[in-house]
Amino acid sequence: MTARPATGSALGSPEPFDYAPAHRRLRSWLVAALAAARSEAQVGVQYRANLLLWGAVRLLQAVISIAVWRSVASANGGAAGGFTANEFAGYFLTVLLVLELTHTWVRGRLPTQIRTGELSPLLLRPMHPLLESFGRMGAFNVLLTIGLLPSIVILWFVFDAEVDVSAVSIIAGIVVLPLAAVGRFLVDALVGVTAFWLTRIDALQSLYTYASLVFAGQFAPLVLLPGPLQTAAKVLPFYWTLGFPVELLTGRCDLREAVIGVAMLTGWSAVLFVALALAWRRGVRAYGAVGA
Amino acid sequence: MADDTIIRTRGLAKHYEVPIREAGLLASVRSITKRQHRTVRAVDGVDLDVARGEVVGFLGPNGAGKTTTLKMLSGLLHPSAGEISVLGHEPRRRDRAFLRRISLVMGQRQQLVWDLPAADSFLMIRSFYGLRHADWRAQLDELHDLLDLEGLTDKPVRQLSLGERMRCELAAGLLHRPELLFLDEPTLGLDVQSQRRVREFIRRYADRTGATALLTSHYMADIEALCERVVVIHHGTLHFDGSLRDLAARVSDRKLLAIRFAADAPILADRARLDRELAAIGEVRESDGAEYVIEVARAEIHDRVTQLMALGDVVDFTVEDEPLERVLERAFDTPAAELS
Repeated sequence: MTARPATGSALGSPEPFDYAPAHRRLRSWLVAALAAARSEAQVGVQYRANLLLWGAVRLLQAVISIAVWRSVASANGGAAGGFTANEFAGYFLTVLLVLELTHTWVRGRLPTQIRTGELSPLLLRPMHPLLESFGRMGAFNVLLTIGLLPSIVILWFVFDAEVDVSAVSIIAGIVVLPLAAVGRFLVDALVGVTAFWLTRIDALQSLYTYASLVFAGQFAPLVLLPGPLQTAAKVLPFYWTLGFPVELLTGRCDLREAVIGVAMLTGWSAVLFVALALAWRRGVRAYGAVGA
Repeated sequence: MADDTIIRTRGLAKHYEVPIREAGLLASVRSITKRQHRTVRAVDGVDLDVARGEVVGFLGPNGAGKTTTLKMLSGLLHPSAGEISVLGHEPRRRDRAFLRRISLVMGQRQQLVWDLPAADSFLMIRSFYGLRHADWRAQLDELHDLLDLEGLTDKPVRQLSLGERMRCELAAGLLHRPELLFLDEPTLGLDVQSQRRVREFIRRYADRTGATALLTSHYMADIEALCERVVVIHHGTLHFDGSLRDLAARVSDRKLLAIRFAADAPILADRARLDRELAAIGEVRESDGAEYVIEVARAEIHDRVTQLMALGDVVDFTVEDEPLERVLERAFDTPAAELS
């Protein structure tokens, strides 16, 4: 058996291209994530009606929460848990904003990719599939947030929303938001990777959804939860990736709470990152590449 | 490893534990506490060496272990046992340096973003692989010509036909100029014309770049056109490794004699006698008016040809090998020890 010699042409060299050197790996990851984001933005623009409908769903959720808790505040003589009716509106519209900017879908998409084998080609690219997902979601979130902003502003005036905001709280919130997005993505991805071992994880996904709803401060501000639930929320990661940035942005955190919050968010992100890395490594080993 | 050997496996194996249970509700309930498993040996001790520049065809019936082997070689699956080295890398680690040198093309939905024109995916792939613009452009232009992508790359992928999509997928899989290609059923589901185009492209690409290619296909035309060497895998083990010609020689002791009589040949007027005569010569495989195809033993060919000619008024006559599909059927039925 003899190998055939290569012959001429632009395709004539069997040698790979001259790639960027390894020390520029971080930059190449960023370039690749931005390419994924660009691609997702193109898909989003192409399916703008779908994007608008998603936005409508999110707005409806926020409006329902505001309506319910304004009623509770009114029934309690104008305030509940330190929130006036207008402050509830400010809180839930900020929740909507943070939810959109940190939204992730990896816990839903990854199991599908694993089950159908769509993950296979992604594993054979010199780019981590989760990094690609993160880039895609970043683009989707920015697009959806831009689309939602006019509606949020209108609702802000309709409900006469109030927040005790300052320049410092806004800057702190903006700094914390990317960290919150990373933290939320890591929790989400950790749920998703269980699909490497469990064929059906619908129940786990529902558990995650409801836990997040309660413990993250999405259903109600944390101060309105019973004591044990508040304690649990401060231990679990959900609150730090949503409730904490919202409270920071709405001026409900003092300096000490802000420092603790950033430390908890950073700590949880580190723990989740290590857990995800380990789970991913073991999961890929168990991956059957079935269907593709 | 020899200098030009880029794939080497020793005792490569992939075993799966598959849960099993009997039918029925009772068995289903019993399986909650008492789970039973069976070990499936998808690949079971394959030794393989592939030199740079070879185009190797993987043959075997469904479930033989061909695709599993390709997946282990590309790094998608972790072997259960054995040694494996591809381009000097351990595939299961999927090092970036390794992934940049290989490409696995399987099915028709792999690299391209379904909802966008292929041109957008090509741009995205450029960033994923960190390709320099000039390199990417030159490769894309070349692939554009070879695969005839004119008018295909500017409309959403979901609106392309199967054949068009496959050509775009091939371009996407080769943009980073891989030196090792794993092609799993690259022509599956395509019409005859698309199959031929894809086949011709693979042939030209391999010839022009010197790339190494490992290919599985159920279409024998693919294997015949592309592979100097074939590897037969059956029940997870390697049954044969060599040329198609060698394989045919080992498993097929039959030849096909195609004969056409003159339209006014007297023998055609006496069908009963003709049938008797032909049956005495061999097994009639096809008959159409004055044309017949008769299968005979290779060792008896001289005598049989003489008998046929004695029937008189023969205007055309050829001796052919058995169709490749039939050869392969025999190969799959032949014990490995008799093939090696």
